[in-house]
Amino acid sequence: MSRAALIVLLFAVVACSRTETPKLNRPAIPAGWPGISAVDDNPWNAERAELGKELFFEPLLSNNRNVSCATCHQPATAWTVNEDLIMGTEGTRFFRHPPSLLNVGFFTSWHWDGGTTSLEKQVLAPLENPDEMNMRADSLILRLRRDAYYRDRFMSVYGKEPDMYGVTRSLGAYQRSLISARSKWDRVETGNEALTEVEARGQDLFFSDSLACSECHVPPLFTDLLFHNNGRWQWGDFDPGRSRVTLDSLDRGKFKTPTLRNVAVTRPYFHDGSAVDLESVLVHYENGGNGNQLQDSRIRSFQLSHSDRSAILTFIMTLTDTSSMNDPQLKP
Amino acid sequence: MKKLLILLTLSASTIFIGCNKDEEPGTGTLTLRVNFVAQNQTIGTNETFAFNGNDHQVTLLKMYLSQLQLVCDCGDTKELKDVVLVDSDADATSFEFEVPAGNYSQFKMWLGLPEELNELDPADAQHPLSAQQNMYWTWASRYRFLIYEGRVDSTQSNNFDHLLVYHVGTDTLYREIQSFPIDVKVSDGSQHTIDINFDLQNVLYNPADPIDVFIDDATHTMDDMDLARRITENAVASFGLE
Repeated sequence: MSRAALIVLLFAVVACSRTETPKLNRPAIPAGWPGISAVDDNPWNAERAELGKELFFEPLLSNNRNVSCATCHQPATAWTVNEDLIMGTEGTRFFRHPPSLLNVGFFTSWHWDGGTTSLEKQVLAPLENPDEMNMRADSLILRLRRDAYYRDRFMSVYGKEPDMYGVTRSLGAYQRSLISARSKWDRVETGNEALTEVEARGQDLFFSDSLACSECHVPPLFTDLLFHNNGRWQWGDFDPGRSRVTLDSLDRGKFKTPTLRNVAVTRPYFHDGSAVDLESVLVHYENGGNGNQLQDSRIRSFQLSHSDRSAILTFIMTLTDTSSMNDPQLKP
Repeated sequence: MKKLLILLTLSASTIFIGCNKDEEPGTGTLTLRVNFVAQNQTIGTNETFAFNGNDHQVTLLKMYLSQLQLVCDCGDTKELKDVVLVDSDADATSFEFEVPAGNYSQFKMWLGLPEELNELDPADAQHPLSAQQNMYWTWASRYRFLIYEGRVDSTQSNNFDHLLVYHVGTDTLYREIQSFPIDVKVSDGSQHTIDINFDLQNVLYNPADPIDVFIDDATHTMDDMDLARRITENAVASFGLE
């Protein structure tokens, strides 16, 4: 074989391969947790999840090839990003803060307003949204089919060329692998560790009737997966919240309760990313919200001493699970 | 997918069970043509029609027509197709169906999608409900029923600077279009055409509910349900036999 031919062959081999990363294991569901919500035709499957991982970090999925799912959902920040409103492929900003994707497989609806009814359908939203990836489904399929690597990968996993079925099932499978259940609080729950005195004081306050935090932030997911007007929204806001889906005017300003797991690293907060830190969030609730007419009646003002406030924040830190954020099998 | 299969099975049984008496053997071909018109003239997208001193152009028109049915003389119904997508972008305005022999006196269809189809997963659905048709509202997990986009030039100087964007959908706006009287006698190997006009001007200026396009120039349904409903009702009233 000539030297030139060898170089060409070597180039072809390199071009058609991707970096090998640790293989994904079937996610372990902790005892007492709800079941993972999967569509009938997409039970968790390692091959699909592996392909989903590659697609998740692939900028080819955006119109200008400059944005991937991971741009707004970065592993180091619990699969969200520390910016208020993230910039999409066209340089425009979406009007909501990207939520953390950890434990998203346990949800029963997706988006801040619950507008999508399966993880697979949810995949289509950021892909096609002009303010996010701005990628038409037909263009994406054409692009993937022209890519020799992805053509082979889809053939290998699905036995057919790339299509939206494969894209959505793969990304759904990968996202169901993103489980965060190894925080200090989890270890305490299983009797393997104990809270400090301050953390325990914070936990008591968190679960107290007077503060009622846990009425919406229900363990183990630390969300009730329901929609509430928490007094952040106000009349005239561009974003109608849940009413965009239900068309019920009483649902204006309602947003899905975000999980508090890993909240220490997921700033900024609220649906619009308008609170820069957790102290600001606490102050919002201490003030009893903004008092808009549709505000949830459970949002009432209360007073916290400096030490109580510190205790609550310290307790919330125990919900941080860095092992999932650093898990090499979940990253490219 | 299961619901779709049930729907298709039911449709198929309607075709095979309905009108079994007096039915001639064989099938013919029926073509449905949807013609865009304004002021009784055929008009294409990006062509101009004038109304109220303003020039108008429709730049994109897409809509789902569903439950396309023929009613035979005996009163039974035959479903031609569960859904078709009229798409000006893809030049898809003509649809061909195989029809059992018989005498048909009515043609029926609906604008939009029944709930069973509206809740399908577009990544798993076949044409015309696949994600590639760009009719899916990804944030709502539902399909758009009608996309009517256009522009208006209030100066009639080829300056179309006022955009119109009407995207309507949701189960509550699923509408039956009027029943069209026809006289189609299908025999084995025969060919027939039904021409349905869709009046682009009437969608905006239906005398029963004209829209001020300079005020009500956009709806994505959820943000302006009232306008979406008006556009839907006007669209339903814009169909007619040629």
